[in-house]
Amino acid sequence: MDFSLTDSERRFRDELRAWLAANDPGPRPEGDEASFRFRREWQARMHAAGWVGIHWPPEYGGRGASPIEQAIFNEEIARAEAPRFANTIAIEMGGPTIIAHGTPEQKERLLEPILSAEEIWCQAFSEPDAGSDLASLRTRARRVEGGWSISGQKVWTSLAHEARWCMLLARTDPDSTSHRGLTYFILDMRQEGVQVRPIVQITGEQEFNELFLEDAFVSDDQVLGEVGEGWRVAITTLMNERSGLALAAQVDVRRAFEGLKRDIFRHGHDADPTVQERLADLHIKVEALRLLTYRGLADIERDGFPGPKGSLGKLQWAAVNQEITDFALDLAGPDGVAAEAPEAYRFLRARANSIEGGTTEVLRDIVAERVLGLPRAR
Amino acid sequence: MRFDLTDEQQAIRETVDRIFAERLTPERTEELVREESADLELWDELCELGFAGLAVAEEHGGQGLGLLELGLVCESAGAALAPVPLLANAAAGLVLEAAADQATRERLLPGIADGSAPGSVALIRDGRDRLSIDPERPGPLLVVERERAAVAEGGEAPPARPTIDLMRRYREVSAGAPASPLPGDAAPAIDRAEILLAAELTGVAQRALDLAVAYAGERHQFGRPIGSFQGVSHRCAQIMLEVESARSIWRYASWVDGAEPEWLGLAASSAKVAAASAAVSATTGAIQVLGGIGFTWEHDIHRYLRRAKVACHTFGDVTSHRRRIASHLRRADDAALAAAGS
Repeated sequence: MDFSLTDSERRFRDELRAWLAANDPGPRPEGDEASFRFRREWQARMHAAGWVGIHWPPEYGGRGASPIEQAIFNEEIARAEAPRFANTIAIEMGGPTIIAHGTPEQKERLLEPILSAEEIWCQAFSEPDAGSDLASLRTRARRVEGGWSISGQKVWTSLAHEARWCMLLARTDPDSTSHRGLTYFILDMRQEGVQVRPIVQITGEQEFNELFLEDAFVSDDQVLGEVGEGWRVAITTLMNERSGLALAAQVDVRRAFEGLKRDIFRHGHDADPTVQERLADLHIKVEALRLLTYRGLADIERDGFPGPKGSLGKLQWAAVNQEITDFALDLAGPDGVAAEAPEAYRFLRARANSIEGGTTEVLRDIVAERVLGLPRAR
Repeated sequence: MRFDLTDEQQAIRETVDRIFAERLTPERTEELVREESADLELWDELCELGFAGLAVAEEHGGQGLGLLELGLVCESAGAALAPVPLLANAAAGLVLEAAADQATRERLLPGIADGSAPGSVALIRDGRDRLSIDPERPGPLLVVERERAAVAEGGEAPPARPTIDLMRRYREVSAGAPASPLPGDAAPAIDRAEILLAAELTGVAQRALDLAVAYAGERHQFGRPIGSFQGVSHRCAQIMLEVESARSIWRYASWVDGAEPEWLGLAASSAKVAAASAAVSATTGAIQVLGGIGFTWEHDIHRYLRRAKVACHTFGDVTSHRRRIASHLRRADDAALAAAGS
């Protein structure tokens, strides 16, 4: 292990650091919509300077950045306290899936607007009766002239109200029941057959949506990968989700931890030995998260794709973020549970961490079966 | 940056793993436990191959390698619970390198590098160290209190202090015994020794996990291997997360030592606490997975549990380390604030 930068890594860091220093994003607006617009503009600005999707190959608008440069990128974003990109789902999941499985025409048409945030993406895999058991999904795609007609219901679709495109998994073989017979579609969200209904979540916000599909049309050239091979394509998306998002999300967690520490020291909570001990254990878990994510990068460098060990990072991320928000809420006392208290909001929002992007239970199954080699649970 | 081991580091680990697997057969281990004895034949073999002086400078007969390489050997030794004075000797070498004058280094380091006069360390708190690791052969005793170190040579060996650890012997060292003070700051060396102990505990935790996973794959109940039940498999997955966390943190700490010495204390305390917690949860968790057999004297697992618990109090205890982490974090925050204000 060597965390010292090589000359070229240092050049990369210095260039980014200088750019971030010269480009102040300005004050963060309040509210979901304003904040989304703000992050979208910020992404467009960083893209104009070539700083979005740096891990994508240069021919698709990236920099072909190594996993280590990705790590440096995330470190610098954290250091500068820069906003997150608006189109993260597409940068980390949709784009890499298209790069791996898409046709030249799909790449030509779809990739650039992902990086520039001109076209926002959403993902529709889960259904009311197919959550962790994703392969049992029931949304149907029926063969029609020139493409497919899709009907069914999807759920937990973030950004559906902003999105132009949707990564969608549907059943093309009506006689199939499991992961066979699924196909991966790129669905145009701007059509009659797609109805978006917001879900008010535990925080009172509307971040997720239900998606009602009634004869929504997808043309043949919007099928990603082969018909019937959707599961294999979806695995690319999910693997990228767990490792790629963990890399970005661990930065957010560390920022939250910095905030928590600042709070503890300003208020002198650390005079209390139990606070000291809890703080120390949390520091260790945050460090472990950072290092586990980096060691996952070494796997990607060696194998060319994220492996099942990436699940460890996601597991750790969920636990750590929940613990940070819980600790902050405890320390805030009665003020923390006041109606508009940020501590209460973050605590409530963090409940999703161990559910979204693979529940903690499913991820433990993956670690047990695919990393430890234990017999299958089912 | 690189986040995995080099080929050379990988080779070191494979070599020691093989030696431990070959020499420490269940029968041999049983014999050593019965006789309450270290394995000095194994120690001599390790010394012959240069592992005793891995991090001692070449001019003093060592290999001149780093803390990471030394840690890898300690991790393997922890996984095998190898009854050799590797850790004590390495720690003594580190204290001498950090705190001794040239003449003392020249006189004592060669015996540490070739293992003929293995060193040991006593970390004095409240006037004594009740868990100073026995070097198993006469050699220099480094008595450290805060940043001051002194070396005791010859004289009467400190009294033995029997513990629950069946694979390592300890002594009780009191401050005030005759010893010659050393001029340098010994505190960083103690931090390095804590990193080595963290590496050892990572090995302890890893082996406990391996034993649990192997058993969970073989043992059948209700017509299925017990590892197919999530109550068992999820426990193993959680232990793996802790083991990999501990491993990441001690390895990172070994890098901090060379590259960012101002953060050595924080990194070393973090490594110790992470590894001690992982070792305790892995060994207690493994016993639960093993069920009745894990509660027997015959099964290896209890030796690992014993080591894990004793190590929580070897060198600095985990509670003080947690407090120290908090105070380091406060210091870092104050420094950041001062930098922002100026």
